Amino acid sequence: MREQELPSVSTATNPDGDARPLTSAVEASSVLRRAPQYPPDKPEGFSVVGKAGPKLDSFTRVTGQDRFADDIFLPNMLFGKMLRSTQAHARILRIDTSKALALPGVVAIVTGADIPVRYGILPSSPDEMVMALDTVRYVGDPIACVVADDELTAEEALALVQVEYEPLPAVMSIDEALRTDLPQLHPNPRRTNNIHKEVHLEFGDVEAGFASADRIFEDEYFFEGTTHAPIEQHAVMAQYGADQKLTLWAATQTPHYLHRIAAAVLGMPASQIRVIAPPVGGGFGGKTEPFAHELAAAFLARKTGRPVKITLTRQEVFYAHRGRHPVRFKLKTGVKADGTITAIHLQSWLDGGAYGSYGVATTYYTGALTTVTYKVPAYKFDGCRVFTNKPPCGPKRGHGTTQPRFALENQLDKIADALGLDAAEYRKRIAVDPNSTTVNGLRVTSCGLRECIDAATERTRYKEKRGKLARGRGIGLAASSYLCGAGLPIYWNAMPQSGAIVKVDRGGGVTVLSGTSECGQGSTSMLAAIIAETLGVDPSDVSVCYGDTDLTPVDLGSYSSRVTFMAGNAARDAASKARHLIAQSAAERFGVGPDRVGFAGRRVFDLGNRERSMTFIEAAQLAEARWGTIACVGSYTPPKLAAEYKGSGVGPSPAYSYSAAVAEVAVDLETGEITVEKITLAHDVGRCINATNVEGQIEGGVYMGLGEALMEEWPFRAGEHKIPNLLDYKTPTSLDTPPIEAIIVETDDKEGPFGAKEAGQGPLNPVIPAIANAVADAIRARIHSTPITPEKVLKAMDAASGTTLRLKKVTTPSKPSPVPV
Amino acid sequence: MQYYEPNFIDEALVLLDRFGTNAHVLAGGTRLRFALRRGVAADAALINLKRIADLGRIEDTASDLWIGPLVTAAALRRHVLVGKHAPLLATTAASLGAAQLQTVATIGGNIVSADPAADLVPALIAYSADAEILSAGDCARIATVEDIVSKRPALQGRELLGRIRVPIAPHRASYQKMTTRRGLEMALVSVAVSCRMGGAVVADARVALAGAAPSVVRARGAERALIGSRLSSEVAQAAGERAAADADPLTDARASAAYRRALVATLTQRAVMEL
Repeated sequence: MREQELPSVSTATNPDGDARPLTSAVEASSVLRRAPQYPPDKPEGFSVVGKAGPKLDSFTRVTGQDRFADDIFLPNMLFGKMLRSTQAHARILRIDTSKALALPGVVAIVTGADIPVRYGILPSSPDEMVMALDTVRYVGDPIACVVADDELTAEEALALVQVEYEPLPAVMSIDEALRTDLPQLHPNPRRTNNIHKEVHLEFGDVEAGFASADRIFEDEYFFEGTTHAPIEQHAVMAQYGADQKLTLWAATQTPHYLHRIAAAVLGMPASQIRVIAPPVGGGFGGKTEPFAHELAAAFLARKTGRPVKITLTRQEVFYAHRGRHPVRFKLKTGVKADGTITAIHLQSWLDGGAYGSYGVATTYYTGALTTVTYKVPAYKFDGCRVFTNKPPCGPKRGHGTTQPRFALENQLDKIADALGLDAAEYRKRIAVDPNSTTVNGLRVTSCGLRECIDAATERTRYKEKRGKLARGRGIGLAASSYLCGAGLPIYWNAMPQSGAIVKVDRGGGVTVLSGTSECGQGSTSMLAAIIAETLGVDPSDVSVCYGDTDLTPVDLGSYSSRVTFMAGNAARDAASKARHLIAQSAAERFGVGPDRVGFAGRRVFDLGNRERSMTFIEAAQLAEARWGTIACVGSYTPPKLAAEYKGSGVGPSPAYSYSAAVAEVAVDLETGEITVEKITLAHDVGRCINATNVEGQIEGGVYMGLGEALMEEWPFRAGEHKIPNLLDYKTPTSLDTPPIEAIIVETDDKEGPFGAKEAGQGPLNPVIPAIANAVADAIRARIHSTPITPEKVLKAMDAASGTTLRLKKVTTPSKPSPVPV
Repeated sequence: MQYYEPNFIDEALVLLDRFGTNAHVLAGGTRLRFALRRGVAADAALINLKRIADLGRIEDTASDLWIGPLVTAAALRRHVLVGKHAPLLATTAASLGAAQLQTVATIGGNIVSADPAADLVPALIAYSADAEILSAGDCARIATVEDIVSKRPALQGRELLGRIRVPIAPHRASYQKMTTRRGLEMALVSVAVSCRMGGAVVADARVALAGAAPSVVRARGAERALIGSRLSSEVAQAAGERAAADADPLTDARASAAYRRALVATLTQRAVMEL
């Protein structure tokens, strides 16, 4: 073919040459939609929001084209490895790195003495150091960091570092932490034990509430600790340039917090540090704070002048942890004869592990959301977090609210049974009302709890089944609520929680700069959908640049289920301003007012006469000619929500999501084996931005809850985590995972972007108590601790029937038990 | 560490003789990798058996099925001779770990690592299997699989597991395995039962328990309850109760001894009912 025969493409303008297919064309199937209420600034109706379709970045993810932090290689780079404590609790008497340093290929070694700065994700508990200075507090606590030309040499060098310990008694349980005769992990002259944080809150007249109760139920529960188990191990690449600027590529959900703390720990101006969050291979709360390896890599990159990469092994991920706190509860609930709650007294004891992490917030969260689901007129909460010589606990999907939800929903079924109430109707009757305020001052706006309960129970014919199935088969319901982002940032400031910049290209593309981190939750697609909806383009026209502290405005991070609500609102704010500019110049062309201009299907048109229209590209060029570069900023600051009491900062959120789960199980009455046959989960997401993604989040929450309900354990022996690997730490396989039916309930939240709320964490919470309640229905006995193992099933049945059926039916030789392997 | 790939059994035996307890034999490597991760002595030798074709065969004679120690779980699962003479071995191989793991895990490794909850061993014991134990300069000796796995370690430093022999006889067999989750799991407890029938009466029986004692063991009391009986639910229950009495389980993080014992009773009973 000769050059002249090539098809000609105009490069100057391409006014209507946009023949690419629109990707957002699939209708969602399982959305319970109220009559569409379009916001005033969407008079043309929705063309993107609410549709189903794949995440924009799913193709590059599944084909391996996404580059995770560990995929980044730089010329002349070094590999780092951290030496970790083999002692649960010990003083370090001496560290000798000379032999390791002499190993050919080793470039540098640093220890705690090189970076003697204390830090912590919460300003209230700065109790961590990059590496231990004089005390190690758990097996796995970092002591030294080696960088070498290759990974094997670095590993070899670790074995050559000599550490002399003076062992201290280890504190390995909540009970031991409360004792006064054991050493303190963190010296605190105001205490004699290892309590980290105590919270005592009381709202309403609790005494009168219990006095007026017809029945009082008191139970104890224990929720086992669990870990996040993301597929991607934590990884960081650090580069210190000749321009004396430091760049960190980190597998993090919170680039902004890493930026802040790296500046503080390294003693560098934040202006000289750039943190980039590449796609994260799963976070679930496990990558929401700066980690020792990230700061060590940064320090060593600066020290050596060479790029440093550190990728944790799976075992190290178990040590870095920050997972679900094991929590013990005492729950006392007073009710009238009809079940109306008169008062609740909840006590929680959290096993925090060796450091503070987010633990102060977690402690509050074990009590803060108790009142957001059901009406509680008087409420007392006592929380207590202790330090133990274990990997530090922190936030995991559901952060601190998952554990009490197990207790509350378990006891609620017990109350319903004792009072002869239908457990679903009962929950609906005491459910909080939309647009109400809880006794602890939390503002509830949109609330679809009753709709969720109806949807999940009707779909499963719960009322026909509960209590009526054959022994060994059970059905269980539980409901829950969750935040759409914490109302307050973790460090006090009056600035927005999220910002966005939207830039419209004259070729019709739209770029958004957002400080969010994409950890697979779908923030990229969410941002693209919100901007595409606002500007009437297709999500595939939107390019999302995220998680780069040099380029993107601050977003506090992908935690607390805040991204859709907060980053989504910020992006919508920015896109609306761009829309306004484009609408004005288009209106001038159409000869109508700007509020008569509509945006949809990559076209801009007169709402009064849709024939009068132009392509989005034309409209963008018109606007750019009229106004100059179209780049608009937006931000989101939550309304002031906190009440006036100490501790009121934890719990407020601009909106709460609601969920109800129904689990159907079969229990083998002879082995105790539990088969979860189906989970049906209805979730009030406010308004669903992308149905596929919401369903995916629901399914992910169900899957994660299933593991916590049935099998995940956090065992220690002789001060050491017993199973720091994914072979022995049990998470469900595909064979364990039942069919999951996701039902999306829409309530159109007035403050959410296009009415949207969260779906990332909320759907996990009701799954665990729903399974517990279903097992109770099947075996006519309640189990008060997780995981609900087959052995506990048999024991609960024995306890309920007063017999010890199979366990003692056979005569057993009386031999001492051999030492466990 | 030195690395060897002997081509013949004798060559492997000489190497084993030379390195003794410092020799690490590599078959599928699914167990050995844990030892290697813990670290081995600088003068240790890794002896990879993969070139020794004689150790990877499955053959039958009129009276016996011979299985080389390098035969993988995946091969056991689908080999026609295993399906014909020792179907329970195919069943248990199918429940071993993941499909990927089955392609490397070997029957010899499963025996020699002598895990109390090993997947293939219960079926072998139920089939009264024995195996050759080879060492340099000596004649092969024969030991029952039950004896081999009861020792710690299962083999002496200079010994190598040879072929495994499963007697061929008409039989009925069944297998029950309880796990913490549905896939990728070793047994909490598993029970393999094999019976030779004389008419409607059990002429001979073997009951093997895994996860119920320090090693996979025979439940001789349960066998006695079966031999001479006509299979029925009462007999099954009696066998279950006797098996629980025969068991010597331990308490660990996964389950208590009492629960394991209860599982032995239930699973044995179910296995017998399935015969």
